[in-house]
Amino acid sequence: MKKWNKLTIFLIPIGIAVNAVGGQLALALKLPVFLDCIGTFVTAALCGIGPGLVVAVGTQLINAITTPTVLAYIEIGMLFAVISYFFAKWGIFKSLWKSALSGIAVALVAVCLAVPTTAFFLGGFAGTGATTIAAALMASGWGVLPATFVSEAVSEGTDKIVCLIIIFFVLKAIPDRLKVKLPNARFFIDEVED
Amino acid sequence: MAYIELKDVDYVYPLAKEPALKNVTASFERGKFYGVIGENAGGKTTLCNLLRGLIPHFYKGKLTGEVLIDGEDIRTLNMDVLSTQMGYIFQNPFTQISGVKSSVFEEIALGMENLGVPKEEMIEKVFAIAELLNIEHLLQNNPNALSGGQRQKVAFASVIAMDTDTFVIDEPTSQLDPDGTAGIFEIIHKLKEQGKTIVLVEHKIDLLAEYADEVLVLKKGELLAKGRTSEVLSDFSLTEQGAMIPHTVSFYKEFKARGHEFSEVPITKESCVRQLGGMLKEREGEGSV
Amino acid sequence: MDNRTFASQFLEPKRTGNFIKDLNPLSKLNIFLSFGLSALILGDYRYGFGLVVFMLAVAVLAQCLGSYLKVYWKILLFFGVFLFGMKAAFSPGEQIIWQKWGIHVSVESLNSALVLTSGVLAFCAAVIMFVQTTEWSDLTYALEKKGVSHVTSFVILSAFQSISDLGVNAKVIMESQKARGIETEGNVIRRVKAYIPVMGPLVLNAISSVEEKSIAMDARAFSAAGTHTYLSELPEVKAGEKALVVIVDILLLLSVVWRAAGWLILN
Repeated sequence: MKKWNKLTIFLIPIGIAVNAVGGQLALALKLPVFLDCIGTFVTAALCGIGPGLVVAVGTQLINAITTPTVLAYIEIGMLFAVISYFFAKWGIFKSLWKSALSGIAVALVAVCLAVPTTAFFLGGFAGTGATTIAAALMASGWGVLPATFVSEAVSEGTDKIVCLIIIFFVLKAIPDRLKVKLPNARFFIDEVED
Repeated sequence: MAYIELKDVDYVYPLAKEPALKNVTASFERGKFYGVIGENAGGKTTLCNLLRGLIPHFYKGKLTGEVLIDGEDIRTLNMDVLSTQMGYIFQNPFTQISGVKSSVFEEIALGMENLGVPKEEMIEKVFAIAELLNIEHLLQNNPNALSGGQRQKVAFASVIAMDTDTFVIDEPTSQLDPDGTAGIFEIIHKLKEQGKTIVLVEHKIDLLAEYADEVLVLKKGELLAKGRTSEVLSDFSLTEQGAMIPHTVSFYKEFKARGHEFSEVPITKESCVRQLGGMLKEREGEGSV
Repeated sequence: MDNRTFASQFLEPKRTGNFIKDLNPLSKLNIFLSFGLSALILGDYRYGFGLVVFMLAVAVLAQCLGSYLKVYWKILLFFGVFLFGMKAAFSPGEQIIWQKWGIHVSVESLNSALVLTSGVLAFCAAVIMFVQTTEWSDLTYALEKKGVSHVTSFVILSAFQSISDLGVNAKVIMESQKARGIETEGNVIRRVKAYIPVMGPLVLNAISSVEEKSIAMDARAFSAAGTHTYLSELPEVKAGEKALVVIVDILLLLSVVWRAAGWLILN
């Protein structure tokens, strides 16, 4: 692993805070989406997988303080960090359409990981809005697994597409002179060589 | 050998088109108080970053020319080691508070913890510095709940607590009232009397005139002048280029325009008041008009 | 408090006077985590609910019952009531007790609901209890004493402070955007539109400040090599405390063995 530069270390707490406050803001505005992983994506895109992982795990640990069950989903955030790094590498964040479409891909990954955990561990009860959908489906005869799958897909799908769009705008708006100091500058600025 | 030497230094920030420093040649001696003045975006902060080693280690970019600290090329110096020798205080009070300590007392001690200072010594130092800066009443407060001016004082205290040999200070009084500002300048003066080397960027030219040994004037990255305070601040060609002058010197100019000569250009308040008093006495001696 | 009195606390190792709070943070982490995991692993609802009651007793002993309940009641509601309800209503089972509108409560579903709920409630109780009795700066101190870099300590503590700071900033930005005409109430589209004008400046400001923060911490010799001293220290871990940790760890081990044995016997 490359030696983490100083800026990366200080970006990590900010990444965690952006995750936390992003989620709180969505809640305050009563939006039907979570928007609580923006920090993970931005950190991983700008600094690399390692820092992104730290942000993801750190955020989940802090969330676990009030809701310890989120620890069951910790691997999802970690996967987001990895995905974001590759998205940055492949230039996905340079285009609005690519970012939005990748939101679907991310949602799919999230659902595939979340569903087994929610279905088997918690009986379809994620404690979120998805649960109402799952409950309604199960009441009309759907099995636990398919009901959970559909409810999570709807919930995650909307959330991740919106997330990725926001992330695109955020990454775009960060001034170059700041990006250039971060490890993944070469993914965003053409003049920088490796 | 000079403590810090700059020879033909040019510097361009990454991705920038214009150089931030052009052809700067200057040398700094130990134990002196250097003031740095000039318009905004003139290169003052860049100079501070350079002296502190942030250029080239943190900011990268293109640095040409020679920069020697105690004879060693800055490019080969270890920035972590430099941080134990050069204190650095800058303008923004909000980013200089660490955010990881719950009392001002511990905040001031943070730097000393990193330097490995023994506990009892840390405690005594915190008290001494708090007294110096008049922030004893804040010691038990949470640093994250302070006002901008209070934070600036705490940040200042936290860095001078580390007792480094040199202090590079970039506009430390922007959020302070006149009393607070005067207090900071007095402390900087005391530091100089202890033998520290000070490089201070300030707009408050009157106070700089009182205390600085030498003044540097920067404009658009070029060093317009460097020399003894009294010489630089009375050089009126600089005023035409936008450098500010102390009130005492503008008094001198106004009186001179009316035909009244000071015996020497007054840089300090004391000198100005003394000379004006002398001129008044002369006038009184001439009898009524 | 007089400043000298305030400072004198640093000369002695830190003690609150409460037996539970004064346990070493790493000991507490071990103990509470082991308790929580043991409940999940054992899958016995009597143990689970017993542990929940036990944690309440611990809260009383640690003099934090009020703040503990303030956080825990939400867990009790969501997982105690709703999770239990869902699991009981929809889990498969043969001995149906009550059935209507697609809900089928059976003996088996009730049992699995009790097991799951008790496990989750017990685990949450343990974790929340840990957080209630531990200060983060004490935890980072304990970690540093074990050799963890002070960079990690900084990241942990700074994360908490940043969440608080950013939260405050968000409110300020929201107010100023409201004054500019951005609406935060009304239909979904309007509310969604309000998100970026707040989040955007928030994130950008935060990221820009990282540069100066990094320089500021460097000026405090953050990366300087050499020994680190501490203004505030924790007492040494006594033998009795170490023994307590070992006992709880054995409990966890036993629960794993018990469960494994039970599974082997069934098969």
